Amino acid sequence: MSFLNGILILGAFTAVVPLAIHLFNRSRFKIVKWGATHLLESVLHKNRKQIQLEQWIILLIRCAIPVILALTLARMVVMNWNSFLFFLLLPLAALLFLILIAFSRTTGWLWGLLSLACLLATLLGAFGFVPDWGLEKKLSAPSGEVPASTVILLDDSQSMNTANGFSKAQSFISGFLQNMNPQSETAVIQLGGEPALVFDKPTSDPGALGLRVDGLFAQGDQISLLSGLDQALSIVSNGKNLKREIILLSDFRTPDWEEWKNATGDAFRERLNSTPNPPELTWVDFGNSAKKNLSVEKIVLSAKTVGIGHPLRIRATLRNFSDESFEGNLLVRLLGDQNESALDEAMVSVGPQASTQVSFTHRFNEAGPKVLHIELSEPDDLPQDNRRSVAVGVIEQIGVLLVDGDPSKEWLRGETDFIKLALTPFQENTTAKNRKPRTGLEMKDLIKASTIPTDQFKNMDPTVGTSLIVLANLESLDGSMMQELPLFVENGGGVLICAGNRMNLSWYNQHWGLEGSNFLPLPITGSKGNPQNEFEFSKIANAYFEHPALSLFNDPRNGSLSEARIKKWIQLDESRARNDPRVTVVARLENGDPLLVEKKWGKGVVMFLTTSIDTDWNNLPARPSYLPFVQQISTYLSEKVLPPKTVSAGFPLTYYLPDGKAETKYQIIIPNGSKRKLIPHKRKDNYVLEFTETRLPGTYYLSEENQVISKFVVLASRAESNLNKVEKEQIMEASAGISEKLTLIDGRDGKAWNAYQAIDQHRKFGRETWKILLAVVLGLIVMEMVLLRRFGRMVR
Amino acid sequence: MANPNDFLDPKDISRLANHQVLARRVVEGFCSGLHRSPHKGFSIEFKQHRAYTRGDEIRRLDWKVFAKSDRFYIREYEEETNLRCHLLLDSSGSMGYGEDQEESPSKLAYGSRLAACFAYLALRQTDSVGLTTFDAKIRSMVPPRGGASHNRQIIDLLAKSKAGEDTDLGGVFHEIAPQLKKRGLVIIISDCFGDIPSILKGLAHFNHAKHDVVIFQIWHRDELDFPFRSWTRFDCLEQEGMKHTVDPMHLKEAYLENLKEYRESLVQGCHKHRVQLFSMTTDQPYAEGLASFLSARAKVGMPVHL
Repeated sequence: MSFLNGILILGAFTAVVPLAIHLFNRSRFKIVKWGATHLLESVLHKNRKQIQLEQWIILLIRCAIPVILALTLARMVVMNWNSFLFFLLLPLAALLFLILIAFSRTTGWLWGLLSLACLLATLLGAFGFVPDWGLEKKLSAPSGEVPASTVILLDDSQSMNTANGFSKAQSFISGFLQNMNPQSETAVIQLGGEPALVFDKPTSDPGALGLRVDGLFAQGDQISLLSGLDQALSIVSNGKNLKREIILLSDFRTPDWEEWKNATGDAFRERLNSTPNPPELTWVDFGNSAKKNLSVEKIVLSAKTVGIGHPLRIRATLRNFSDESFEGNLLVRLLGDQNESALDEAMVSVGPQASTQVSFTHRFNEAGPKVLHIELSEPDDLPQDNRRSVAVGVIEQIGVLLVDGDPSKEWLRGETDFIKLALTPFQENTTAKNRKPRTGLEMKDLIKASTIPTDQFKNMDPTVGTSLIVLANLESLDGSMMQELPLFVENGGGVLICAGNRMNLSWYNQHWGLEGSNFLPLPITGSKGNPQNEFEFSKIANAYFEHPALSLFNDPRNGSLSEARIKKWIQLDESRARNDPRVTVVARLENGDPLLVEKKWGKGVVMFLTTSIDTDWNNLPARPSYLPFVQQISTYLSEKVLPPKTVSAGFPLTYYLPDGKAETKYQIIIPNGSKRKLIPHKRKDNYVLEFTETRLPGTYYLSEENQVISKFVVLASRAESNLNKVEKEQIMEASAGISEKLTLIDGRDGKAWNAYQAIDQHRKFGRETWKILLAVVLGLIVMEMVLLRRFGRMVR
Repeated sequence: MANPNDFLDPKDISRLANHQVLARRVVEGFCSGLHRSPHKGFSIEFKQHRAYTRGDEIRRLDWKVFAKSDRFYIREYEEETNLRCHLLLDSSGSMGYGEDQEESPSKLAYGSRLAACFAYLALRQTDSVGLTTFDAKIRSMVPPRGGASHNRQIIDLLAKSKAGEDTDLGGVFHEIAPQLKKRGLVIIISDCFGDIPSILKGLAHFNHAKHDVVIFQIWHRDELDFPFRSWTRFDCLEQEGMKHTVDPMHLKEAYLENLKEYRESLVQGCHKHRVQLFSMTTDQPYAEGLASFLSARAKVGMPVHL
């Protein structure tokens, strides 16, 4: 027994209404001083018990009406003869026998006994103490004529394109929709990447759904089978029809089935088995085995942002999934943006079931958002993975001025040596060690950094060709510079103040602190830690970085800042600037002290790093995350920081808007050509555009009034290129525990629809009882009226 | 001192008076008693003149008065009343039903008016009339007498009577019967609630004493229709503590059935004992009821055999 509108079963509580009315009436009786008592008394005397019985019967009928009506509205379903008997026939029989007691004086005891027996059997049935008789005998009309609630899971991942698998799946759906019962409802979920419903709700309009399904392409990322099945189960559990079904149309590739092995598979099985009226599962295989498949597996860029004219090295990994061997005859092309003419091309060799790499170097001659594609021109079974793209930002070179407060002639002993090396790795690679780069390519750094000692800093004009000034361990500044720097920041420049042992803390507090120009993000209170003690240190708290400068580290693949040991740092007084909206703590230490604090100052930003930028107070420069750390901070302070533009399918695309652009209209064009409007929303001080519907791999164009301002590349999973089939035995093994509800159809020959129809004819789905219950309700209402008249008459 | 107008509505009296023929028949009926024409042939002593109405014997017209006034008058003579009218009014608890209702009087009030009306009519016709109120036993008694002032006594007793105790009609009839020394007309005004065989035995006692018995059975409309709908507690008017909380809808038909049975057996019993039973309901104007009773009695020739 189950209910299609389970929540309405609560309506059964309205049974208390007739009870309450009865009790209310009894408690609020009228008092009549009556003369003809002898006429009344003889009636009462003879029939007191009968009257009580009749009142009980009337009350029971009145209470039963709302209960049965609630069952009707909740659409009670009996799955088999057992529940039909114990939950429908016996309770109704109990009620009927009870009524019969009132009508027969001589055989009243018999009806009473029968009624009691039926009631007892029902109660035992409700608590599960009943024989298993009839459990396996399902109740149903022929399945083909029954309206159904169906969810079709359509695998629209790229691999479905192999041997027209996707179009076969589409024709299966159109066959299904054409034969759909008018009262049926069907939902289609696209499985590729994140499961997505074609229509928000199940629909009974096969035409509209068919049109949408016909317009779909297999462009999706690797399917997440279990989350799709979970979603389908949720939808189907709320279906309005008794016949429920989940149909999975997929190509059954090995990577899609990995997740069945772990706990999520068990969770789904458990959920399915605990679902009342569980759906039938039909899995249709459209995956033809592929003979030949080549793919561009991976693209690695030397930098995500590149300056104009700077060489960008692109390294692509190619994989051959076939047994065919290519000896220098595989043509690989580098394509730029929408311009399909090849920028470069190469012939490579790759062995059977092997991979190879190919490198290209490209220089851009104009700034702006760019997309590069690597394409294999060899035709194969799955052409969609023969091309892979990557987004590149092309910018002007950034000028960074490093002011060294503790210079040294020894390499890496100066205060700014590490940061310079990190900011200009290529330049340092060729000059500092007097070695030539191994690749032989002359790569220029995005940042042009120059170092000067403190004494030279006095006399120069910082604004020329510099967008960021790093003050590394400076004791103090002379008067002119002290006033010059805030002005420089106010006009859009960036200043990074790094702590160190030479720093005159009281000078900073006095001149740039609260008593001075308040240029420091937070006032300094003192220092903490001992750089000599190897065992006393703190770490950078590994939190989620909301700040764009460090958001790169939210992806663990880009390294972790928490590896570094911070042995000494400067403490800042946060309480003084808590309400200042310009101040943000970008990163903290594990003990809660701020590590990196920024303050918006005019058009620019000043940042304070509370530890040294070299290895004096910490071992940060020795960690792999140091280079991206200083590069990110530097590019952010130079206002050139950009969130990642090449993301995996399903990850959001983010774009930081410049000030004053929040009111402009933005739209994004997704790979299938459709356009979506984007509304900027505020995150802290910045306006941000965010787009989360990135289930389709390909290039996304973000435009502002028809002018493209950014390009994003969403990459499909590499697993899509793996066309290995999962074996039937593996599927059956994975479906252990649900296999009795599962039907597997081989649809590779394109005749899946006929096979499905043949199977569907023999299914049974239980029976709805609302018609019976409604008849019972009507019967009870009539019965109540008849009994009321009848009971009055019976007494003599 | 009770006001006769409380019991005798001038309107009702005028209505009965307007039916002069009817009234005459009543009076005649009262007057003639067991003898067909008591005043035929002799006049004892002149009493009064009365306006002529159709049906009066022409020979009784006073032609002298006609000659003086040009109007017809009948001469009437004082004659010895040969009819004694005994009014028996049931003042048991059950007669008190309807006291708290505004639209109609209680059964006792209705019965009292009826008794007053009879007394008035009888006394107007110079018959003697007596009144006995009773419940389980005799409460008070005014012996039969004639004369206009006697009316006051009867009215006073009616005013004093209150519904209260239990009923035992059979027993009380046996008690009353020996006290009615001379035979006459016994008018019982009661709801006749009680054990029917016992009542009939009491009536037989009256019959045995050669009384002419008429029962006016007084009903309240509620007792006949049982119009109650919601849950009701019926408190017995006669026995303290007898209370029944019931759903009246449930009982209605059975009650009506019971009522019908009871009425039928009472009618049959009365018929058997040659007692005339006349039912009236308190919502019925009593003058109208009385008039219809009298006319019905006239039709079957009852004046002769009253």
